[in-house]
Amino acid sequence: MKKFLLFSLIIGLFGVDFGWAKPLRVTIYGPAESKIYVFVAEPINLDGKKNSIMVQEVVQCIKVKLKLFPFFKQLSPKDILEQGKINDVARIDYKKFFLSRADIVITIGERYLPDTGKTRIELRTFDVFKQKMILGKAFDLTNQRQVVLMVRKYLGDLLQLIMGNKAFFVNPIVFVHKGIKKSSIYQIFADGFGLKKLADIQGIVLSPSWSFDGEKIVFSVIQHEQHKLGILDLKTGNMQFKKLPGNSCISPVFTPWGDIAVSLDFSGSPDIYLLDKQLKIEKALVKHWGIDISPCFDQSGSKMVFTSSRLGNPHIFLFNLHNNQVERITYEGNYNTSAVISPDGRLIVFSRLTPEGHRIFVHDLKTGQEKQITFGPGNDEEPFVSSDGYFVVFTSNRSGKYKLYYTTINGDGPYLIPTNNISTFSPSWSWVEEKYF
Amino acid sequence: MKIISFLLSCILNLIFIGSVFLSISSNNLRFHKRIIYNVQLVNLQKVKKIVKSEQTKKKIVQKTYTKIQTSPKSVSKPEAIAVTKKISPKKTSKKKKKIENTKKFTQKDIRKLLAQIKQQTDSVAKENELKEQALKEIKAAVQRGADKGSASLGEVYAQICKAKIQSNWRFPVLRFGEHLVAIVKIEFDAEGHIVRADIEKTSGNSLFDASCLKAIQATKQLPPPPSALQERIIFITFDSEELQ
Repeated sequence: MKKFLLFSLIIGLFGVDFGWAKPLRVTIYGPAESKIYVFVAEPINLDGKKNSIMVQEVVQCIKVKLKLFPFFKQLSPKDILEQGKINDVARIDYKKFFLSRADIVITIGERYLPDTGKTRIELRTFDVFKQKMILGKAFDLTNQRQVVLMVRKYLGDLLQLIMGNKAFFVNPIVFVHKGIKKSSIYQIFADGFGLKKLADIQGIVLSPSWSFDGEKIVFSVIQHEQHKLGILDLKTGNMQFKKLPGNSCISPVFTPWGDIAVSLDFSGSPDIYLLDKQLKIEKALVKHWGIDISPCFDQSGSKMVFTSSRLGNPHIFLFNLHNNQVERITYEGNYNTSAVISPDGRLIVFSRLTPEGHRIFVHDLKTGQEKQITFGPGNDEEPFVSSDGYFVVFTSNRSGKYKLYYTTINGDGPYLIPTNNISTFSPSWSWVEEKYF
Repeated sequence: MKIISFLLSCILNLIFIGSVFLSISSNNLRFHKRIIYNVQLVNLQKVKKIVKSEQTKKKIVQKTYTKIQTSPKSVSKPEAIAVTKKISPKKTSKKKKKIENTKKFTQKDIRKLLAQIKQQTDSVAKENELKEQALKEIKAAVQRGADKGSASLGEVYAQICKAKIQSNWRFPVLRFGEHLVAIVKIEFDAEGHIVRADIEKTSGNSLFDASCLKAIQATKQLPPPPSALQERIIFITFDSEELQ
């Protein structure tokens, strides 16, 4: 109103009479809010009976999982007219949801199947604006333990619809738990589901990394004061160790074409070498009198990011595999490490030592902009970006013990990934769906 | 006769003495009043509060308050006399020193105040200059618009519409660097009611396009357009990236 009055005043002041023949044009840069408003409706019993405990658990599970995403804002029944009650999914009064600014509505229907003794849960998601169902799935459940599986499956499909990727629910994260004289490699999903031990290994395991097909995990291990390369084949369950030339074998990773890049020091200072399928040194990828470690490739295999001390302090560099050019990425700070590149090769996520401790930063290769995405307390280290390039998993000792957390490239959260209170190091997020669960 | 004259003289004496007593007692009353008055002056802030509630006292207190603030000379005479009478010669010398000190202090204060006033006047002058510049720019823009027959004021109107629609626009940018742009054509009536909104150019992302239309639908009403606006149409470009 004030703006309009001001506008009228300007017209009055200048007394100009215009005849605008051309239509007006204006550009809006960026939305006011980066949220999707979700309403989870009360479950409907399609047999006309009371809702079972199982369906109540479904509602609870959906609400809990939705809270794991910073871009979802859940509306409560108080926010909606008539408490947002839906009696029939075929006749939804979208107007009351639209007035409450809900973007999507999730409904849960329950039906008992007497023939099989199972409970059918029907999950539907409606787009309030389009006034139509955008996702509908039915699951026949035999017990309550299946509820979480069903909800993860359904929300994964919903994420696929919204984000174009469901990595959060389907791509596993591996991490190292260091014990006495031995280490364990664990796997977990970002929502804390499916924690399981993949292997116990004698010695200290460092920096496990997924193969691009999700079938193998490569790592380095210090056994009997010797650095070795280790490969865990998830398909067969076999583990292979290889002693490579030199004293150190640091931060091995798979290349997109299935070879391994690793930092070895047999010629003096550690340099990054490429190993062939038989684990023989094929060639040096990066060779310098400084220390070169922690290689990481993008999905196309055209870019490799690494850490180097060639300019004195450890900084992040980018190696272009097409023209063999090395480009310096970080200029700020005196200690930048643990760099990973996003699958699309646009973002570099790394850890930087700040006066307050280690923090995670994102560098955009397209714009050259850098952004801090974690703020402690304690140390936030060893970041790894998800295949959608949106989530970033990292370890932090903010609670005293090193635990797993995830944030987003916008710096949302962070959110704790529950790991049964075991210490966690060196997380690595698979860029493909889990194959051998 | 003598007795009568004696009695008359007694009566006259009594009247005289009585009048003297009365005058003294009235003087005493005044003195008490002055004491109360002094107390009020010391507690100026409290007085100020009391003044708000009591309109009769307001004028008196405000006058004294302002007088004290502006110049020490304006302090009421009875008080000044009372103070000077009590001060011994030794004390007066100290008092003089004190007064000198206070004078110095006030000079410093004055200097500070002058500096502050200068700063304030400078900033006000700058603001005025800026306002004048802005006005000139607006006038120039309007003149240009008038010359060209185009829409400088229309642009202002469009900016107001933009602010209103943007406040209703929600969309999560989930893919870093994903740059989505959609153009929506809005038609509105003479009162500013949005009567039609169509995607003129799609972003390629149906969710993004829907978010643009949702923002317009949630806006419903724009400010009434200027009467001179012949074509009641706005093309709004929704850009997912914020300006940096």
